[in-house]
Amino acid sequence: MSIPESDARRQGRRAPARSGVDIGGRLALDGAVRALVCLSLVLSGLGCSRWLYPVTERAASVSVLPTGDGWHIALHRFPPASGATPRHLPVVVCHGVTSNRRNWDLTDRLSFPAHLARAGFDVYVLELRGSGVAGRGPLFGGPPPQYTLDDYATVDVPVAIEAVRARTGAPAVHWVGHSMGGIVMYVYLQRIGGDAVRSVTAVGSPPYVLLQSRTLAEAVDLLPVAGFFFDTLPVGLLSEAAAPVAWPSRLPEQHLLWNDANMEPATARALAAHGTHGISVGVMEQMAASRDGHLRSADGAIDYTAGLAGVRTPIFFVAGSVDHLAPPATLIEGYRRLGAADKRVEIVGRANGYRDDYGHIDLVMGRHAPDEVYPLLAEWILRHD
Amino acid sequence: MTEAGRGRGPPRRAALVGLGAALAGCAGGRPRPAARSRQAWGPPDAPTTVALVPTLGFGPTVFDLPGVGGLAPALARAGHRVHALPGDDEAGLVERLRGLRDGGRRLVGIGHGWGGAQILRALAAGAALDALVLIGAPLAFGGEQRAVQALWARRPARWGDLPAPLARRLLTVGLPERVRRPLLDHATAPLAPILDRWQRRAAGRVVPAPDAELDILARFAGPTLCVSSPTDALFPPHVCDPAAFGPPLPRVEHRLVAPVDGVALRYGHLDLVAHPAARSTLDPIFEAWLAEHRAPSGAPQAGLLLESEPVRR
Repeated sequence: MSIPESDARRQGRRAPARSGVDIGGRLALDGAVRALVCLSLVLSGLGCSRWLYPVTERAASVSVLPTGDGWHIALHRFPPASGATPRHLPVVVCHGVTSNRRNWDLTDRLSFPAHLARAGFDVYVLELRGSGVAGRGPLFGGPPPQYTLDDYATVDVPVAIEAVRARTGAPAVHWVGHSMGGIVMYVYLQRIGGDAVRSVTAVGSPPYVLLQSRTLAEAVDLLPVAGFFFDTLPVGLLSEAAAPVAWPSRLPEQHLLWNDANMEPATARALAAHGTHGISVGVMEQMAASRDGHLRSADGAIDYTAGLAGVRTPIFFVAGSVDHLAPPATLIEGYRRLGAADKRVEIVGRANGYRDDYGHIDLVMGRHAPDEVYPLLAEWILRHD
Repeated sequence: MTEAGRGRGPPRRAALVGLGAALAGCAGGRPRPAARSRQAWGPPDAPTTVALVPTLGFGPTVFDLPGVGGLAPALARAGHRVHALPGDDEAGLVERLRGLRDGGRRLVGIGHGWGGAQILRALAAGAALDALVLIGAPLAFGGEQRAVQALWARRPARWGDLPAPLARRLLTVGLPERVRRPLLDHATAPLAPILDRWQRRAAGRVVPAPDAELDILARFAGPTLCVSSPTDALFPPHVCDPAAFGPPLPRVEHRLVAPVDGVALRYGHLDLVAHPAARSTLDPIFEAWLAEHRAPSGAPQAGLLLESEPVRR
């Protein structure tokens, strides 16, 4: 006599085994249901997260420019606010790794370009190749899908700086970069150089690699595996799908991004939905390749960390006290190595009088960033204008 | 060395001490430190002897606060013989460490903050240890943190003389008041001379520069565990992690105490040894590392390797 499954559970007994055909059919059905659930979750995540966490465009205009090697860059302009004291030089603001313009401009309050525009600056937010509206290369017959920091620094950045100088008639620009946005400027200053950049503000931009966190070290170890499967890491897709669970951080890896206590949940989710982009494996591998900590050109011939000694452009290194992607030690090392006499380093954290300890992204998008970090950066730029 | 007690006292006694302290607090007075802090824990015949050296201005109580406990009894429970040495006798530290040598038993030094730097200097002065654990211990000195500059400017004789908000900012992130207050009351070691020395070491630098302690660590023949917290306002990772100053040192392991590496709480300088939560989160790290390095390393009573070059950049 067969016993219904529910009765068997009540009696503490195991239900008799089903026939092979039954089990196979059940497993196939389970698998199909699970696949459908997963698919709908992913699709809803992809489709809904941008709708769930909407953002608006604030830039007055957008220009998409060819780089000459098959890619494009984008410049989003924030003109000086009416009535503000006009400043001498324009400011170019550059996003970090796997990000886009939203890195610096998310909401009315969380927008450093808007902050600078209110202070009278003509501001251009740069999107490097493959990011935001700069877009991907053509699917077929386009340039090689992989690119490196060197491509950013020697092709994209010069195009952006020359375009801004041409439009404004200014002899030079101020450069503000977050994370990789500062690193590309370290490379530009060594590979291109010249007088086109008056000052640099490097926010959470490590001039050398220090894997203090074991979680980060383990993630870096996985890069070769990812590189085997992808030319472009699909970080944007994953981030969009995971936007609803972007805050609070439940996994150690999430703490690489920000200090939860210093991020508004809505900011974290909107940033995950709109501010993340896929990136070439070549860039990631170049940033993580060096085990002695030194950042080098993709062919290994140029040591960009050591080369800072020859840079004479003023640089302001800004570090988050609990930033694990760009630990304070790396920014301090950049300060030590920089050849310029005019330089500054600041660790943004409680021990230096700030309202909270800052991680990597909250340096720009943190709860207190508009009150504490934006004025700090603007003061440096003003002093060099 | 004076030994005020062996093994753990009955829980009732600890409870009475805590009750007395609480009553003193209710009466309007500050709880008075015990006349003599306990200085040794654990079985005298344990195979490993651990020497604890406290950070600036603190005494042995930081390792075993009455009614709360601490790192010292936790290590004793793990089977080690534990001695807490004074933090204000750097000149005598070499002799004190020599005095703890007993036959072939392993001697491990654990230094918290300034105490870790003191152990390194003792190694340079001829002390010998089999292994070393540095908890928030500086290898470089500078004045980059404004909270530290404020500490120098005020130059308190003892920690208890600082305004509570500044002391909190410097020492803790989330240490419960029931622990922080009595610890500060027990922190009666002179602080001002150490601050003067620290300030001289910093030498007006904008950023910390690696100093002799890093070279000593590079030359230490035994294994070392460095532990630091990014929310430690006194000695954060950028002055505690040898890799911050150059290639990682071969015998040194650095562990970050932060949520990013699975430690749920954020720890300040004092929290690293005194926070009750450290017993379940940090002590297992220390214990696992000590167990891992329990086997004779082939370099018993390790001193300094003479052939190593300085590693300062």
